[in-house]
Amino acid sequence: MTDAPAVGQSTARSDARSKVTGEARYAFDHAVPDMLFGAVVRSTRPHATIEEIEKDQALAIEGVAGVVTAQDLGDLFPRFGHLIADHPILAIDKVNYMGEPVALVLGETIHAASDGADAVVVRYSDLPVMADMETALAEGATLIHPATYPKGDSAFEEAITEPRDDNVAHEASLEWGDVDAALADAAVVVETTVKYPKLYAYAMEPYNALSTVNEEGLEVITTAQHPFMVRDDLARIFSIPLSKVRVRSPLLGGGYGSKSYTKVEPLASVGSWYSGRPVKVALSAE
Amino acid sequence: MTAETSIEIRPVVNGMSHTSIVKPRVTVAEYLRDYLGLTGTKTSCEVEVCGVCSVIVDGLPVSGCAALAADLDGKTVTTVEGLATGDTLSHLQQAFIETFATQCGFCTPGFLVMGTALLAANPQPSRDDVMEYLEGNICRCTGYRPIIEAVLLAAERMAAPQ
Amino acid sequence: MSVLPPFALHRPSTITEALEALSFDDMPLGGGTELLLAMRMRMLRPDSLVNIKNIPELHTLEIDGDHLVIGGAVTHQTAAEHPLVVDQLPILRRVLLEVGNPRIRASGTLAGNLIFAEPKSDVIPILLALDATVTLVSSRGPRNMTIDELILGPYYAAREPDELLSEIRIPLGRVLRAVYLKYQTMERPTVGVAALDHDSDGDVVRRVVIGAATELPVRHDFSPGEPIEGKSIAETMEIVPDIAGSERYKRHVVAIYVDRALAALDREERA
Repeated sequence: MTDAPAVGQSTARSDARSKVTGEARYAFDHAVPDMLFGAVVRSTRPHATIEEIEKDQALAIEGVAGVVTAQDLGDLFPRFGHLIADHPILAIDKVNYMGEPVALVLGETIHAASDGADAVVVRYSDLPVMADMETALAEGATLIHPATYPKGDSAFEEAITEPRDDNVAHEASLEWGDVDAALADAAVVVETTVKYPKLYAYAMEPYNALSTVNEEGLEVITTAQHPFMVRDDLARIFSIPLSKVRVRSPLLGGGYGSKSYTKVEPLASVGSWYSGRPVKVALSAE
Repeated sequence: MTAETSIEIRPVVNGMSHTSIVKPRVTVAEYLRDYLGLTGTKTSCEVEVCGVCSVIVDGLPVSGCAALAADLDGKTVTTVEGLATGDTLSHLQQAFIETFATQCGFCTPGFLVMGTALLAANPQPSRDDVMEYLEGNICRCTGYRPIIEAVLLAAERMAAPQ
Repeated sequence: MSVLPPFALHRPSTITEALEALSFDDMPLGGGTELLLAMRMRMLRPDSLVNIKNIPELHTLEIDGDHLVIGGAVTHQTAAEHPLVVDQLPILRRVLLEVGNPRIRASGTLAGNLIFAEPKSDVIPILLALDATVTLVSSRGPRNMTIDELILGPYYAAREPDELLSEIRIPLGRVLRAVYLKYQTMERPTVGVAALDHDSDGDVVRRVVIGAATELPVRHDFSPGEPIEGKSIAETMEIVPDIAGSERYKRHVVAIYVDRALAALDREERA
């Protein structure tokens, strides 16, 4: 009927050749002139107050261009998150999980940034650990977040609204029919608890982002599956129009869902905003 | 003897001679990617189990993430960028395209390098030989079968009379 | 991505030069397949590394009397392919080809494997089964020891910081038949069983060495006709539970693999 050469024939992928020659460039492979590298200092405590972050030893290392913490973010909106913006870019006064970013060290080379990160000293005071759901939901459990955060469109507002009294992030309900009646009427009722282990999809390309923030706006090259969501988070952080934020996802080295939502783009972006230069943050698989 | 903090190396990479000065801590993968701009070789696990950093040094397969650039002096290195001859892809590269052995493609350079090393050492590998040789490379997209088929297809073509 | 910490590099061309450089803060670098990873994780931060790969004497692979001598820089791949090993110690070849993956075999050294003393090593059980000895040299002179004198515990070998493992010596002509079976679902084996029949002054001794399941490999010798049951051997072992399985699970697997190794040994013709 029509000239449809692709139908009924085996057709090579349009990008296969560039992938087998090594020419294909992933976000991981990008670099720009004048770029700084960002190395993340992460929390070694599961739940703790940050007493002090010592930058001096890091700043004394040759090639270290700066050390960014939450206190350096000025008027920037300090959190991101798709449904609820409850994810601090850099830990604010306390850490809520092992590995939470506490500081971003900027270096002229990846080595300088890494050596700087090794040299940052953080002092913590431990808070009660709630390592499972039951403990976190129990009566009188220590609050992890200081107050509620607005959701959806109102998340663009900065103000934290009300104090909270539990650790429930969000409740959603999906229901139809009369469940109680159905259960009462059933011949047999089976109840069970299912536990899932943590899963990591392990896309071969590590998380990474290369961000440039200047008067014209923000451009980030990143391995993101949902670039529009990332754009929204970044626009909110910097209080700039969506049209001034450009998110480029050139080619992903795997995702499978693990690269949905915003990851290290805010870190790279605040690094660039702080230093006035492009900043690349690339994590290891660890 | 004094310890050196700056090492001069003269490797030949994909047929091209280089003279570089590197610190001891620079890995082969960093050298190829950041010093020479050859970003075809990747890094991921950084503990020698995933294979995306595989390169060939003096005929032997090497993990770029766990080898020092300082050891490359006088050595011959082949990366994925060196497998084709001009515009002509190698049999293995061509086979990868035909069997759909590449999806996201991040693992592809490592598999191509290891496949090339295998076929150089064993031009007629059995399916088991291929699977064993590639057990140090991880692919998260294809399920491996098309990769194994590609290596066997390339072996077949390389053995065929020209 | 992560990077190695900073360090200086010594590049000796003789053993003497290497020994002058070695100390607690100046560690020997062979293939680096474990050392560099430990440094990347900041578990080790030596001031310098002493690259031993360019020292010709450490690449020895030859017969000395009735022993095979393997130098401290010989890689798993080189040893596995060497005609002397293929001919005189084929079980060693079979085991070395099981180590890691082709890249690790091409760089990693037998000496490095011993010094790292990984409890799940494939190399340590087979060298123990073969009655291998090693020489550690320093400016104070050489020390010879057996594998069980060298391997003191998990990641703990009896090397002083200024010593270099310069050679491994394996007695020849004793192995009548041998097998190595391992069960592995992740990066390291859950259990590895080396089983061999060897000539001990005219008597045939059956030896079983079980690695990976306990802190140190376990060796049992049996006289001809003595019954061997995987279950009873496994019952006496101090199994270490970890990510590869619980104590109960591993004990069960160890028992099965000992029995399978012995059955394979009965069918085996190769040494």
